Amino acid sequence: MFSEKAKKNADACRFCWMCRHLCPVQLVTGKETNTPRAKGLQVSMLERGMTMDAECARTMYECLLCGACTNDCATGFDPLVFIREARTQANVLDLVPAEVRKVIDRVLETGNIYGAKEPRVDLSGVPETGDTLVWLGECARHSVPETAEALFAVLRKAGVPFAVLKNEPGSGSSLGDLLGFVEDVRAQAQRAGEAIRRSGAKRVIVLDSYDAALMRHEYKDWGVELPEIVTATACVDQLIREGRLSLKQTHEVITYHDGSRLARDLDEHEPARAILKAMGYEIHEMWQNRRLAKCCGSAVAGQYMPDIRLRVAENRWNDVKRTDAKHLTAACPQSTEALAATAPEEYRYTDLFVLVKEHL
Amino acid sequence: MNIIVCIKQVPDSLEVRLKDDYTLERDFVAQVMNPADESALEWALRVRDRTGGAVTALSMGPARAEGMLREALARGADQAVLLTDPRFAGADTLVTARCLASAIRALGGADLIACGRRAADGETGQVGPMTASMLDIPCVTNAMRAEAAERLTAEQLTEDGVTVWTCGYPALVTFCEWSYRLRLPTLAGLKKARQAEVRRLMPEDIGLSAAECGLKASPTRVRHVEAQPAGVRPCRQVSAAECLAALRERYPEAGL
Repeated sequence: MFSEKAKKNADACRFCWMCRHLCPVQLVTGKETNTPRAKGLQVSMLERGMTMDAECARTMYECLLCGACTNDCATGFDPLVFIREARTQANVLDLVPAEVRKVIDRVLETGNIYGAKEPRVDLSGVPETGDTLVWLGECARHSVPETAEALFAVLRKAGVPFAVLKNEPGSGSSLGDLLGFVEDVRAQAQRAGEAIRRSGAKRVIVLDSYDAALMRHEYKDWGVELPEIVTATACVDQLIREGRLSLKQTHEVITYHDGSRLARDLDEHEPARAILKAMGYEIHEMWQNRRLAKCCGSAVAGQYMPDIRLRVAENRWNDVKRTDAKHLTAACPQSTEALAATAPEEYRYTDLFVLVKEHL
Repeated sequence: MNIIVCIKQVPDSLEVRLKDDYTLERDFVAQVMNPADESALEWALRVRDRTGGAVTALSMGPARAEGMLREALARGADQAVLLTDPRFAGADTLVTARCLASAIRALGGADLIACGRRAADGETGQVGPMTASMLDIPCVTNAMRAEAAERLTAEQLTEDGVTVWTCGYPALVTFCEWSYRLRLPTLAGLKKARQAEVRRLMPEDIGLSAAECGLKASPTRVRHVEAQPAGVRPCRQVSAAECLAALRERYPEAGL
């Protein structure tokens, strides 16, 4: 049962197959079923009576929901609409691959994809209430805590008092990617909104761009009212422009990876570049940058298809190798998780906030 | 509390072509649930959740409207009924209200009937009040909020503010688009909606003859439709003094 919007988006495909050049998963698997075009065809056939089977369901999960296809679709339609709904159908029909099911169960039980009970970030001495709340997201809290701690150091240096929730609930971002946008996801978003409200925050600095995108685009439609939402990159850029951070200078060449949700869903490209320039870095761009950026693999995909996520991240490093930069940075914890673990020999990855901390 | 919610499919687009008879060409755009009807459905679900009873989603439209009714079931409605037959096609607001009122009677009536205050495509806002009139029951339009207790209390948005109305049951309330935000479907609801029956009714099932339905029975005729050039309004440039005089005339109580 697909919405008419999903059906229209699926049926709109002209089979030009240009999306095969864009899909980061198809680029490493070479499988036609990994193109948005093939997924659209399958959704069209499901709507015409074909029964969804386990293989079709698996195909729908072999996608990062990065939006590269939507951004450059020749017909201007949005494959993510029907891919999300196909995932919902897979759940309704109990056809979700076992490895995906495990991740869903972990999120439902613990609020995060890692199934972690306690954050790895050092939150000692950090209050839970205040005007400014830093929302970390599951990846920074449980997988790459150094990104969160670096952001804390930068904010402290700039004299920005902030609070962090010790038991930060899931935002609904991962669950929304796994289940599609169903009531269970909205319920998680409502719990997150309630936790933010209890913190008394007037402004929320969001570190994980997946969470920021969901909060900015879906929360209001779901009846979840939030205070001002600011991405961590926009916040740090603003602090630099206000002269509240003095940064050591370098002349090193670096390249910047635009996280897919930051670049496409939030349409934010320049603050991270401005931060790098403020430290004196010379940015040598990869060919696919800004809205055209190639995804390096989401944290949630890393949990249920680690092999594909690894190859997707390695493929992004291939783009780095086509520049003369030996140093890569990105501004989303999920990018850091994927790229830090796959840096080739002679290349270096540093999270943007860790980089700023090093330049304080 | 048994509640019937009248819902309609509207185009999910601002650019909809018109057919030669000036009815909407709906085949080329995705159809979604009318936003104000979503609001009505959410209110009905909340009342049902609190007081018990059942919510029936009722629509009139082509067979494809069944998808929207299944969506209503997935979001929590208990049953769905679709008035679908070529003889219903092309109905104006009067005939639509007649069909809905007849269907509500044929379904055994309801304690409450909830509608959107207007459809995003036609924007007449007539069907809800006309349905109430034909059923001879109280009607509150443009409700921002409503509470179903011993009596129904509804806050009506007016040009000057808010009017609070109370009435007994049965009653019909039309809701603003933003009054209540419709919940998303649950996985359990989606499973149920796949299997559920969407009851289809034809004119004879609701006690109407073909002569009382559809375009033929509709007294409204759209003789011509003209697109307003984008960005152009029939405005007149006036001086500040002329503007002040006009405001004084229009709003004498403001003491300008």
